[in-house]
Amino acid sequence: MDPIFLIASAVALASAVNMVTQRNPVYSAVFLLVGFLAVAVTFLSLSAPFLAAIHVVVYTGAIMVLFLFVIMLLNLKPEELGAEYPIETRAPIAVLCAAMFGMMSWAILSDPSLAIPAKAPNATWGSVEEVGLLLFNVYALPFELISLLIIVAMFGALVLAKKRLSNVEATS
Amino acid sequence: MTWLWFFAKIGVALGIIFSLGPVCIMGDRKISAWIQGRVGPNRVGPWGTFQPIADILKLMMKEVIVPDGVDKVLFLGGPLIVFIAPVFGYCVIPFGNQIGEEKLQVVNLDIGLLFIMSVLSVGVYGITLGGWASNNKFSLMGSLRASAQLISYELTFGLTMLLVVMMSASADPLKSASVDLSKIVLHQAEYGWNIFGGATWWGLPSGLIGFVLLFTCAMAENNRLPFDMAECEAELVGGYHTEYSGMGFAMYMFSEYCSMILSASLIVTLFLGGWSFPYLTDPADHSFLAGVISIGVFFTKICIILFLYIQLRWTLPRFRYDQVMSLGWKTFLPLALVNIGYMAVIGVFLEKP
Repeated sequence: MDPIFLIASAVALASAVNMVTQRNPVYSAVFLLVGFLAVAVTFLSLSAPFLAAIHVVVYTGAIMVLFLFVIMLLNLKPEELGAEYPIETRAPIAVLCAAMFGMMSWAILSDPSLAIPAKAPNATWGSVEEVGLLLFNVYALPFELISLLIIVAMFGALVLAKKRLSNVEATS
Repeated sequence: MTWLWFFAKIGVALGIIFSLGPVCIMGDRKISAWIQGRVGPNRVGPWGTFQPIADILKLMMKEVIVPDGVDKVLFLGGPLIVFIAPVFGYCVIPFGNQIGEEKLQVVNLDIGLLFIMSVLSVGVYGITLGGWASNNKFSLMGSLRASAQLISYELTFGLTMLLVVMMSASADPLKSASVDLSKIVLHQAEYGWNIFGGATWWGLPSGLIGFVLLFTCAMAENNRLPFDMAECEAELVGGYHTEYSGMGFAMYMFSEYCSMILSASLIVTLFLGGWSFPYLTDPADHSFLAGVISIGVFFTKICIILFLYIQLRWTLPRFRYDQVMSLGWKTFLPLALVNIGYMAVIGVFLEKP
């Protein structure tokens, strides 16, 4: 296997573990950030450059900035974070997660059609042009439906976040 | 031989950043003095030109103070992140035409434009984390402002880049649009600069608006003066770098100039024709002399944009924070959307084969 892929996935896994085990939420966010970048590198080594770039732009560029913004705005002190869960709660959850992970990897690994091909089918595979052609020709309808979904979600967020007009006038 | 070329190109790219950085610092001080009717630094070297060296020496000798209560790892890591990002981004900027078989660009990525976008967005983490790690209310406010500003202006930034991609496509229906920066420059060298609408005069308003939008958004993302809400000293002491001294502060300051240079190069590449200039450069000429001339043209254009940057800093007063936000969301974003819509209509109706 590609050594870059191996290194990047090792980094991604290590930072994922660190993200879960850190006490400080800001450090968790930083490790998640490192994980995102490492995942982007695995995408690159699997010849999906467009996916890698979009992954970095959307996740590290927009979503994580917002996450970090909220975490910093709350700026929790260690005593406000509360005590850790007792081992009786954590053990069953760990078993459950391990079982789910096992089932998923069994399902993926046992299906030969999901195996990673040794190399990309052709040189432009995964490039911006190819992805664009697929999105706007073959998958045009699902693509537009997803954009509709996002607009609906945006309006929902607006309605939830907006103060009632009468309240605003009363305070100002 | 290819390795030699590779290192030579890295040398030129780093040379542009690290030679222009101190020149920018010097220019900032001299031009500000000129605008304000002062003399400016004139003691070190002829006309004070060695002042940046003296500045850097002073900052290097100073003690690095790590105050009590700061988060040490992130406090020291913040300046590093913010410093690395612009240098990293420079490796996809085409700073000249071809010499022989070698494109004058450190790596020729197909996803060049997207790569720049991702690098620019990672840079803000240095400011955000450094400000938070300082454990100071004013620093935290500064870093929160920096991240809010980045999110607000990145949308317009991305939409303007999309405009450039559309302009690179509309001229020749056989050539597909590209986010490859060297192709964008070649297209401009052949059909006309994007600031004048690319291939068609119908695109002129679109190009001009796009240029102004990109310029302003780049300024906002670099936290330059009319938009330096993250460090405005009247409200926040020094903003995110209040607690930094010595090299930590120097790296924040220097990286601000580095990202300014990266943004200027991006503006030149996307809207002002990159290394091309009518009658001076020929895209088909791959000789050594033509390559050097193209680098010179690119360098001159960056310097002009940087001068504009510095001049605007000393001409405009700082915005109020809510004005920055409403400018970004209520003016720039709709304007950029309308701009893209206009360009799309032009592309469909005028350029039909």
